Amino acid sequence: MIHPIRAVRGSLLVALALSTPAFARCPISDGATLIVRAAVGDLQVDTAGRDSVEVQVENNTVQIQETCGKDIVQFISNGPDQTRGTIPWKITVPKTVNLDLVTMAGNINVGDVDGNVVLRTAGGSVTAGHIKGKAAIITQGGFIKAGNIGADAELRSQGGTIEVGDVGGNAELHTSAGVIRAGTIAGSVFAEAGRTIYIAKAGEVKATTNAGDISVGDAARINAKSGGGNITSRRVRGPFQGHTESGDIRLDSAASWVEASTRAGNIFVRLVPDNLDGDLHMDLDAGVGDITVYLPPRLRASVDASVQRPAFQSQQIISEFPTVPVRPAQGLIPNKFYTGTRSESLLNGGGNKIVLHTALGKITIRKN
Amino acid sequence: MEAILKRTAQRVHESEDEKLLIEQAQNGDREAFEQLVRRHDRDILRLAFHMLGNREEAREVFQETFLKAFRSLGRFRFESSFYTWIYRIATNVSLDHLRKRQTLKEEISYESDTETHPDRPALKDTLAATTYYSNPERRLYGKEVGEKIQDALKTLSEKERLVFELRHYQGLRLKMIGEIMGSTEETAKNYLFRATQKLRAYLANV
Amino acid sequence: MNVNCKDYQHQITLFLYDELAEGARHELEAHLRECGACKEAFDSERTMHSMLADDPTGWDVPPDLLVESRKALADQLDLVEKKRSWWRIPTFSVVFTPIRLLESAALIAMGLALGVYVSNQQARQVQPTAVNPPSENPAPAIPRNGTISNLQVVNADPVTGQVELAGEVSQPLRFHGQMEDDTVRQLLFSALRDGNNPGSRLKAVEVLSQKPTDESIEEALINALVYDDDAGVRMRALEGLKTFANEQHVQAAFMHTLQNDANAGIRIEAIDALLANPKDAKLAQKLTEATKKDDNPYIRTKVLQFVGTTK
Repeated sequence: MIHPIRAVRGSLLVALALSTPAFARCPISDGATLIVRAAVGDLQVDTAGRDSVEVQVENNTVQIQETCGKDIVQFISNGPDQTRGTIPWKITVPKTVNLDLVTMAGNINVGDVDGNVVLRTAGGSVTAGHIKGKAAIITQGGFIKAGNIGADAELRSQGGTIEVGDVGGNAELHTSAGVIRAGTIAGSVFAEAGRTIYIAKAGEVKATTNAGDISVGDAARINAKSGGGNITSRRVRGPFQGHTESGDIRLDSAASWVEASTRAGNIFVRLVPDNLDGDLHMDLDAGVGDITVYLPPRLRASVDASVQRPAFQSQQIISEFPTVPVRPAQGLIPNKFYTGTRSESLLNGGGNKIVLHTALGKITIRKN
Repeated sequence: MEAILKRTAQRVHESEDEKLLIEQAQNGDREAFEQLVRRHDRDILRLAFHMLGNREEAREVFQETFLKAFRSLGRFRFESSFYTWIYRIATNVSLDHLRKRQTLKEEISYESDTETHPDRPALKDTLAATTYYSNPERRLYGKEVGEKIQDALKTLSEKERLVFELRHYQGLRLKMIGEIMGSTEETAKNYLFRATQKLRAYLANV
Repeated sequence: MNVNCKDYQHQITLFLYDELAEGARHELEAHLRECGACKEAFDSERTMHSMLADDPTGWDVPPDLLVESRKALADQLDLVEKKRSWWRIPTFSVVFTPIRLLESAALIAMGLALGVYVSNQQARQVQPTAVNPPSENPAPAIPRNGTISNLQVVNADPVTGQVELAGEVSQPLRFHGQMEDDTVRQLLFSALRDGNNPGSRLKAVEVLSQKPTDESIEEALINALVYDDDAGVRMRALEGLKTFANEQHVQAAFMHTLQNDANAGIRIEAIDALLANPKDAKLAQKLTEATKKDDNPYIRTKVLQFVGTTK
């Protein structure tokens, strides 16, 4: 059932023809979906509505085609290409519906929603309150700010910042030139940013950024790559794989195996496993930088530490565990001017392979 | 006025440590050459931009000037100051570029016919008022007054424009300008008088 | 105005450029007190000077043009240098190859280092001198935590045992200072040019944006916005330049970004920044021109809206 255009008649119709708003309304029930397609407009959604959804647009050149269905309510507007300014769409809808809103050019602002949301704009920011269901928020440029999301979340922007609270499911967060900030993610998260990534807590984390730090508070597992920035985590309960082109890697508490490399920067790992039986191997490669590891005193490991280009006069490898200096590779005659730059040690009889390598820097191995 | 005087004084002070840089650059020290360039590149670019009136040619003149300087630095014998030397290169390159454009009017030269510059063909009266074609960059940076000034400057001949640029915007002494042009202070003065007269007349009418 | 006044006109011009000798100056001042016409001419010329002084277009060079020109020149110089280097004879008399420290000490003593020879140009009078035992402590100029690389033998005298070595020392750097400090600025600007390290460039842009007080920072940020390969760095530079958004050079840079940046997010920021400060009378025209090939509906709409409002 398609209704023709309705225009609200005001008493000043003649004199204020330009400001006559367009208006549409449909009844809507819990769990139904509201679809809005606007060619141009800032969508402001107030979720304090009761049994109906109302749309009001302050522009008489906009025509809204409304379709009031049982499960789906649609408001579609092929507005003019040329307008005199931003057009605010005021939408009032109950909290208990799902939203599917698209505007080609404008911001979207949504309050709290109990259902799922899909919010898309070709350019402009999107702000949402707390969403109990799933959320897919996409903008080509402009920031995304959302509260907590109850189920899965997919947030994408080309340039802007993505900020989201807690996510009840898995999260996909992508911005090519912006910053990502997320709270606690119950499931796994794949975050791709142009700059800093900050995740308070998550299950499995996969994070990549071209130029910026990656900071994960607490995660079940981490795979992180940065084009130039530090990678840090307070606690990773499972394996860690990380690489940065330039920057430090710092794990305050790692419970499982660790493979970390940086082309220029320091690496710090404190190994705090739940038990000593699992796979606890380490491969740390700091291109130009120091390596510091803290190991449990009863860890069974074979530690192989090497410094490729030793510093001029200072000691390169310091270990609180007894070490056995290994002779340098053949071809060079050892003498007093050549201090040891490779050491091997067996901890508690040997076991997990721990390889620590830096081209230029010093290696420190301490007991936890 | 004060700004111009201050800059002249600053130049004198810089010339002492410049001598060392020049010698290092002559020995092949690229870093020293780049430091020399940095001292003058803004001024040279401004000169080129004012003379040529558009970005592309200004950049070309800039590049040609410093490349020429780089190649012939070995021949610099400290007979003049470095900046006179580089300005001379820049003005020659600018004038050469301008000459490549088609010219419409002829103008009487203010130099005696017997004066010639060793590096260039004899300065005859083939110089003419240049026509600066439509220039979007100018509009980008111009306010209303600015545009009028640009228009006023367009009415000057190449040499008048050059002398005015060097005296007014670069703050060089007329004697120096004479040297740079390979001519005399008297000649430079004459160009300056003509330029000032034209500008005053044009700007008084707006 | 009488005939002499024509000469005085010239004097006026020279006077205003401080090119008049003192005697002539006094004469001119005396004349101006008497001749109304010349006084008028003087005032008129002086007004012209102030008009010219107030016009910024005369004095400024667009910083992005300066940046572009410097870069192009540097590239050209590299090309020229490459062609040259084969004939450039080092001022040292020794043709050398890099040799590791240990081996070289032993080998030189025996004068057998491959590729090391002392040219006849530097043939010295050989005098028998006591050979000093090699010093136990190396030169204090080499820092303890430094690393030596690219070590080369500059000169080696098998008779006296004197050796001259050259190389590079790297050591970690930690530096404190104020933003106004020249050295701090130098370090930050140099980080901005580190082609291999977008993280470092990003951090430099972030720090420079915090106290964006002057032209050199503005220039550096424009450079980053226009030339950096990394979108994160460009975006951050754009954010930092918003403080200078009123300036024409920055507006030009934003316009360039709008027309050329591959990243839609950055282009959107650029157009939002330009539209926040719509002072230029020709802005609508420029925007239309700059975005005619843009496929982003937000940008196209914003331009159309703006053009609509200026009609």
